[in-house]
Amino acid sequence: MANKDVLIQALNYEEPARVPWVPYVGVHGGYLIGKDADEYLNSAELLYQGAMKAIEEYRPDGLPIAFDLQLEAEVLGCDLAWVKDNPPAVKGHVLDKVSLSDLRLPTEGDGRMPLVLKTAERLVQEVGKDIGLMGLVCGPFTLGLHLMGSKIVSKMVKKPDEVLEVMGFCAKVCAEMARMYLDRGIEIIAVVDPMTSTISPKFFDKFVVPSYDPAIEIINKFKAYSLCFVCGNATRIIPNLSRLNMHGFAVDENLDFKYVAEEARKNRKAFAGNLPLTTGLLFGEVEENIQYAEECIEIGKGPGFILAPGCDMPYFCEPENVKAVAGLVHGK
Amino acid sequence: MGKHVLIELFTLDSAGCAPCTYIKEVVDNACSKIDGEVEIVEHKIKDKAAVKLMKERGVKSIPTICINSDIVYESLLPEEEELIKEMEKRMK
Repeated sequence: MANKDVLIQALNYEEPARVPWVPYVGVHGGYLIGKDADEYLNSAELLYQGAMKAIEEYRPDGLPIAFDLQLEAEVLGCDLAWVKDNPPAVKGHVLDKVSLSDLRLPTEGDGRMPLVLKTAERLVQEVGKDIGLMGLVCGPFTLGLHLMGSKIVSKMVKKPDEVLEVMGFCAKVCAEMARMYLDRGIEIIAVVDPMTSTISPKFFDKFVVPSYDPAIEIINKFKAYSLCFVCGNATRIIPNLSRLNMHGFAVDENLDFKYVAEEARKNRKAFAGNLPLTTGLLFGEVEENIQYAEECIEIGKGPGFILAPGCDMPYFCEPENVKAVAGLVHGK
Repeated sequence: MGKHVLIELFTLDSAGCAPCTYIKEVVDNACSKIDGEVEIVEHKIKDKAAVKLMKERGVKSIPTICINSDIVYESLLPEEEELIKEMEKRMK
């Protein structure tokens, strides 16, 4: 059985013969090949090399093409600040400069889209049969923050119609980005919306849940798989996440994984998590990481469970720690 | 001497993690509108010392905003006006 099939079984809410394993190698792929994060995220060749190195070293069942939630925002006109050991951060919000009606949906030739899509094409061709390649798209609420800035929170109370309009646009961007990946043969789309853990369940249902519909529609049309990634302490919205019309969701280490497993299983959803990023993969010893992984597996084992780090792996993650987790999963 | 308040942010890194970036942004915006001296310290848990401090202080998740050592917002993006009120309450 191919590694990808192990992951697909979990996404279908089945229990594979072994635990599915998805290391979220983003800028860490640059570290693996000796390149800075900014250079890495600006080169199709380096993204390809980093992914291939991660496949060789970490023996994953699934792997992101790129983990950069600022890709869409950059195309739409937000200013980015680049550093050597992180993905870029948005520093200027485009809706401070122009109105929403001035924005156009991203196209395949805009910004860094061509290099990410080229990487997707190449990886699909070379390893797509064996590895569950994941197209990561910036979730609509996180994109809304990129476009509007943190004032979106006040406006959810004071000017909800304005926020809903922005969210409607972000939903279209999210669906369009998913389509670009799906057109290239990517079979798993992760809508990565980390900002959702910072709002109430009520606001999540009102402003965010409907914004996932266009992406879900196109993912289903391609008969592909859908996941929602969150981070931070998302405990408040776990029941809401498990009710989404997606195949599953992924959480980070800031919450009770037993509770996550229980809620996911109420709705027969796949759930991924939640290896500690800093205390484990970044600073921990090999033995500690094996212990963390064993604890996750003990809690999560069964249908739908996917072993994964809590979020995008830090640039300087210790490769031996990640390899140790891979060894545990593969039994050697 | 004027009034003073200490804001501590526990983050992964506001330079590369979206929730941390926006927590920092809302704090910066609030601080620019408050009357008094504000000291902002970011504890990035990509540094071992920050992980140790996080445990000592009982901070359980990131991003977290502490005001004068009180844990005020954990994984919650506050409205700017609400944050200003919380800061003003603790001005000394």
